Amino acid sequence: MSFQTGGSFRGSAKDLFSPAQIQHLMRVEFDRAQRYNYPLVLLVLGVDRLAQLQDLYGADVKDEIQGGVAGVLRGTTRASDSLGYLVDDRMVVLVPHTPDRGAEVLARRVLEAVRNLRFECDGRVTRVTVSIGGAYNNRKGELSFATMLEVAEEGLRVAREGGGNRYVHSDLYDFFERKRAKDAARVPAPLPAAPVQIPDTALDALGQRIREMFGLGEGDQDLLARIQREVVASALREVQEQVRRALPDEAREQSERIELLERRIAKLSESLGMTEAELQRVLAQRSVDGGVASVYKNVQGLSASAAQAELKKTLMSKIFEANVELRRQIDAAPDARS
Amino acid sequence: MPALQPPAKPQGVLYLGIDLGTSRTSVSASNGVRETVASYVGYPKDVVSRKLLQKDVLFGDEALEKRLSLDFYRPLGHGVIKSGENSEKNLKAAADLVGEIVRRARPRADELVYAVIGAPAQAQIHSKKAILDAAREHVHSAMLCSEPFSVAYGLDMLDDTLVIDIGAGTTDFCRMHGTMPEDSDQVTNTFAGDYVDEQLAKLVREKYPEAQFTIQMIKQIKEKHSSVSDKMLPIVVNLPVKGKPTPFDITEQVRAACRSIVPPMVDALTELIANFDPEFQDRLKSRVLLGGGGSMIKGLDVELERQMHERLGAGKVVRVEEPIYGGANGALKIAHDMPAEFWEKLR
Ligand SMILES: Nc1ncnc2c1ncn2[C@@H]1O[C@H](COP(=O)(O)OP(=O)(O)OP(=O)(O)O)[C@@H](O)[C@H]1O
Ligand SMILES: [Mg+2]
Repeated sequence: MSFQTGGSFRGSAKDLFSPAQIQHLMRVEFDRAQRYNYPLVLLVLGVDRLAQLQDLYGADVKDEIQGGVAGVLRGTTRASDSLGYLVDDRMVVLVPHTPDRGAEVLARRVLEAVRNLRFECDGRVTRVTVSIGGAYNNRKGELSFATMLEVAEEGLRVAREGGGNRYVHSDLYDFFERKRAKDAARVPAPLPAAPVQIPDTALDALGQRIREMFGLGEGDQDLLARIQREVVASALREVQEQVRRALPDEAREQSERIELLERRIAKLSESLGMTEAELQRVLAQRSVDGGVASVYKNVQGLSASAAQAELKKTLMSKIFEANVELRRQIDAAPDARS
Repeated sequence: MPALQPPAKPQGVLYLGIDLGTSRTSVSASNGVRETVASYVGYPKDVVSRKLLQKDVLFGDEALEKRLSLDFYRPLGHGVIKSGENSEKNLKAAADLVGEIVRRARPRADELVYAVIGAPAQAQIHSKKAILDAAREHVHSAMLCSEPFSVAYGLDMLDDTLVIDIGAGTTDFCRMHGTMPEDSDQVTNTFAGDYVDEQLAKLVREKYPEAQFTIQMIKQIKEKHSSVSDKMLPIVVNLPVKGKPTPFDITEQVRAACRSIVPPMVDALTELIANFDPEFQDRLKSRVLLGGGGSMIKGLDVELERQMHERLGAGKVVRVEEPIYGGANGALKIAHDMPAEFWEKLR
């Protein structure tokens, strides 16, 4: 099996960021956009009937199709750094410095480019389509990244239900924003992480169990307390050890990578800001003044009929020679400035 | 430093004649633009000033007006880019000024731009380098040329002429005799516009010690009333006394201050005439060309002729018609007459 993609494609779908990583990266970019007031567009997309394709051709084929679509996304949006997966094989891309109307333009390009992909499966050429939901940050009122993501996901759902191969902008910002606010009010405050507090009821239950197992009576209170302490301490030790082991090197590497990318985003948006300012300045100058055209189309030179033409010709040569000599002197004295 | 890259397919050729002066910098261009800006450059002193002024650099009268919030430069002191304690900053100010005068000529992006710059004859090599470096950032090829020479060239007075260019910092005298003037053909003195201002200030202070004024006020008064005539209408100006405007008659002081530069002018002319081929000395005396902002003093030509007659036995003085643009117009004409290959070689 093979597929054709643009030159910018850089490997398989596994290269993309995980859901947690990509959401973190995107939230950072989103916050920046809100702070510095620049437009961005979010697209969520999924390959239509991907599950059926997987059943037909296997998981490898699914990966390759996803990889091909990812390549298209990178090529079309030039936003390869904030391209990743959500759960259920949906892909998501955040495109900064793109106005709201750019969402649809981008989506149409992606739709078309994906339609032109060809996959060869078991000797047969297969084509795929995608469904896309979009959202942007250019609107009045509250907007959180979560809402933007919901709006785009809702668009994707509608696009899929409509038969796929299309782009939908659901425009349900206010709805999701209200819902989010309500949910936020319901969620209890998170528990403090450390030190670990063992609730009294749990300790009572543990004491009861120990008494039963070892047949301890009322007079063995001291012993009971000691056993209880030992059990709790070693259980906690074990849990902590497990947690440490559960944080694999890979995750650490990934979070370092995220940090690196964040720094890169910051740098890029800084230089982008500078470029924009410079552009603005040049544009301002240009729009104020395109200049006034000279009366001459070509280099003139002395006309032969000019008064004292011969003398003037000599004078021109002398001025020129004096300037050649001046350059020579300047070059000979590199520190002439000081 | 490499010159500005020329456009790939030039749609035209724009010539600039630039006159870099102590007090005024002027340009005449082949698109009909003529601009002049006072040779002042200012940079906002601090962040607050920059916010208020909304500019990184100010030029000309605007810079003069806001100079209290600026690091303020008059970079072409005595016609030469100043060196000395602030030389680095002065060079930058001079370079920015060159950039500004090119901008004011409004060149089009698709045109080839060639500039001849009239620099003071006595400019040092480091000033010339700074002028050239600055010019080459903004035009595709640039040449320097002696300032009095370009005034004479602009008026087609190429042989046996004495050119006097009365500027702010210096008065330049140049003997033209058909070839490029050499060092021995040029004399410079500092009896020019600024000197007249100082004299006038001194004389007014002596006569009216209670009057309060600044040198800028004196300069304005001079530019409005300057005259060396024996017969002139009384000059009465209002000057503050303890903050209250009070009229003063300064007729005598203006006449004396303006006349103070004439004897040194005759000295310089005498020097240039005396060591010239005796056969042509009379011809030189009868072809004296008076230009520069200082030549706008009323009656100066007549007074100079009178003193030349007294001391040299003869004298005929002609005024340049447009004293402010005399240097720039001449430089423009030189740019026009310069063959293409010379421009290309100096790119
Ligand atoms: N009407 C006037 N009467 C007398 N002096 C004047 C008049 N107008 C301008 N000036 C003086 O002319 C001088 C400026 O002349 P100009 O512009 O030719 O000088 P510059 O070329 O800048 O100086 P420099 O040649 O010394 O570098 C100033 O001193 C100014 O006060
Ligand atoms: Mg001058």
